[in-house]
Amino acid sequence: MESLYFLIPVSIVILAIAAKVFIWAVNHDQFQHLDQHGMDILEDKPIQNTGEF
Amino acid sequence: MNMTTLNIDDMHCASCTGKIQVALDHLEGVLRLQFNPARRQLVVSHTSSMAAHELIAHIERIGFHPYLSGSDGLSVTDCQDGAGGNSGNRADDLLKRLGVAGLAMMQVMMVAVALYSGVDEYRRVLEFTSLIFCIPVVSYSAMPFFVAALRSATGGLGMDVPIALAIIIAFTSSVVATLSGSGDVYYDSVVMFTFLLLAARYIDLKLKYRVDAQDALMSSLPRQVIRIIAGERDTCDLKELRAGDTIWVGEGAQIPADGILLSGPAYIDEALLTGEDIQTVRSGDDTVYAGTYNRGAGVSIRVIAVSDKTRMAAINRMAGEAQISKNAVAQLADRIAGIFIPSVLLLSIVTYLGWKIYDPTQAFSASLAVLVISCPCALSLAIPAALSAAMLRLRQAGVLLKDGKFLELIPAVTDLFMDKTGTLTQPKPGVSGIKVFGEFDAQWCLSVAGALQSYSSHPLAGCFASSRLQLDAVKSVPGSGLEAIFAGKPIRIGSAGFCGFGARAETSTEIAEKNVYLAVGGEPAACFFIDNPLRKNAQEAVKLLTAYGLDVHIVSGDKQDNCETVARALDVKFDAEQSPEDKWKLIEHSKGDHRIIMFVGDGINDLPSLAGADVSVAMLEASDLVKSRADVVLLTTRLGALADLFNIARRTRSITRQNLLWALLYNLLAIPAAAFAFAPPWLAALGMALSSTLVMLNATRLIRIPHSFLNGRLKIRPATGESY
Repeated sequence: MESLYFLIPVSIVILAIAAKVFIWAVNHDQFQHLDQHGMDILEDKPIQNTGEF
Repeated sequence: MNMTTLNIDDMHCASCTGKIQVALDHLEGVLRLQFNPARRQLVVSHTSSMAAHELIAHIERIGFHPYLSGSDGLSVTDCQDGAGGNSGNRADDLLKRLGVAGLAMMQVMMVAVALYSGVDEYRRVLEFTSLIFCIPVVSYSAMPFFVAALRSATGGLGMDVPIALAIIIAFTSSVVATLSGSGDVYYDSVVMFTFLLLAARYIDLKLKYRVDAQDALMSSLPRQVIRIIAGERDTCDLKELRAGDTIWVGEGAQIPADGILLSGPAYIDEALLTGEDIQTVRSGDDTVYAGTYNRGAGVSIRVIAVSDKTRMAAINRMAGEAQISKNAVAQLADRIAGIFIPSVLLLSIVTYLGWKIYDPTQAFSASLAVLVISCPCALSLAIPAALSAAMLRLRQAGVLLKDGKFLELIPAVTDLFMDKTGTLTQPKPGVSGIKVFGEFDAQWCLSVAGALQSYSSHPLAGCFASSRLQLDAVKSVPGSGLEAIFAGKPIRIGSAGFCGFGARAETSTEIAEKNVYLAVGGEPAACFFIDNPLRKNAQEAVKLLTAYGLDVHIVSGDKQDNCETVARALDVKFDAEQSPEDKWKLIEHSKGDHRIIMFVGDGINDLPSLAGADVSVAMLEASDLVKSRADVVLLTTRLGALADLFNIARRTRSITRQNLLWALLYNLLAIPAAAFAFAPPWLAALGMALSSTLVMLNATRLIRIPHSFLNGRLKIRPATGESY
């Protein structure tokens, strides 16, 4: 169980990195407009008016 | 008098609004304060001597963070920036705190497993580990609760006070226990409590932004427009645009002002205005509205109204008024929370003292559990959230509610009185049928009639689609009809007698006043039945409304047989030939007996009935006077929106009730459990936060109610020149 003395600090460091990455992601708008890219594929060109309907 | 709409995101509860009220009330120049707790908005009516930034400074002084609303609908063109930036930051900030709390929670929970399984040898190591992970949660994630609690400590007790107290007490006692090596630690409770509460706050805030975003979309217009002056296209500011100008709206561009189409056809997307996600085909001389999009080729438009005179601005104004009036249920919840918090604090102290006498080892954890378990968040969060969600959903369906209180009244409606013309039927008449005589062809008769009628200004002439057949010697015979020469033959259109049908009346199925007759070469050719056709989906909508248990009646000023036809088609009761007074009397008479009456109408003649009914609904095409008097305005021609209204109102009622019931039951069971030490603090944290999250999520279910008969609708409607 002595490995705890090594593993616990490691987990703290990893957690700090994870938190840092998460905060970076939020700051860089990674969680904004989550639906946007799904919608993008549907939008190729503005609708052409062919005069038919 | 000026009106300023302020967004105050950190205004959570009754005590917050109370504090702001106290701070602003005594100020010179402030005339009226209207709080909208569901939207976290405050509308200040003030004299021009008081500037908006001064108001903000006053509110900031007592610790809140207001910012100007970009969507007050009163100055559509002026404030389009500002709203987005601040609100996004706050959600992001909350998300970061939530993320940190979540990551730390995973670690602390893992350690807690080891602690609970009783590894005495490493107990202190594990406790210190938990402490390290808990520090960022308390010092960073939980900060908003401390700030809010401090702010409210100077005034009435807000609901953040017990939250902050619980976090601080549990954390401090755990630290003491860790350092001294004796006593219990509550790190798991602290992180879980913080994480779940933040999650509930985050959902709440997101919901609010969705409502705001919808509004911002509603009130945002392009700032630059292309104006056509003497054939030259020139870019100018929207502010410079005046009624009477001609503008060019390119393909895919948003129409910046209300106007008349100069060229056609145009494919207009009116989703923002009416909630209908289908394109409407407009032809020349049709009116198009600001805020809609031109989805076809570019068109030129003659401007008839700009800025706050547009229909969009009028709708926004009505929507704003609707939001301000505070819902009675929401008020009740605030009142409950206002009494609840001091009682909880008191109860917590009593629990502590009680256990101190009986069993001192339990005293601390039991009183902490009481504090944690009973945070009335569920009680005060849930109802405003449900209302926000319902309003958002209704707006998407194209229904505008003037007051939230109708959300409670509408599910109780028992009788639905509907006007016929313009409500159940389309407001303008059209040719509903044609009967031809002899060898004549129906299509040919229609085009001849259309060509003739294009010379007429008679109200019924508009029923015929114009055609370009060459006619000679067109002559109008007042009171009878028109005559002309077509391909060498004399033709006549008009009343039965004028067209020589008098003698052959029996050949036509019925001679109604509204029928139009056509004679060619002295021979009866065709009889056109003119009627106001039923609105699209009227049958389905009425069927749905009847299925909701409503008693649908038609009350109309129209003739017996016209009403009968419609009533039979819709399978409902009817009262024909009713004067406005008769309609009103009928409604007054039907009242009582616990019957709640809704009236749907469109004309000025419906005003008494609209006033008499418990809930009144105006159709899209109704005059502005009618719309301003009605409690509900339909922003769409889709009668299904009425069914949506009932559906959403019912769901809102049941969700509000579920939430209230859940919050009350939970507190009723959980508080005694905590006080008598049946629930340890970690369970209290879990129970409390889960109950808050549950009611929030329950409220968001309202957004996902589907449209009535969304399927089977045409994507693009035929270009009849009418918008129905």
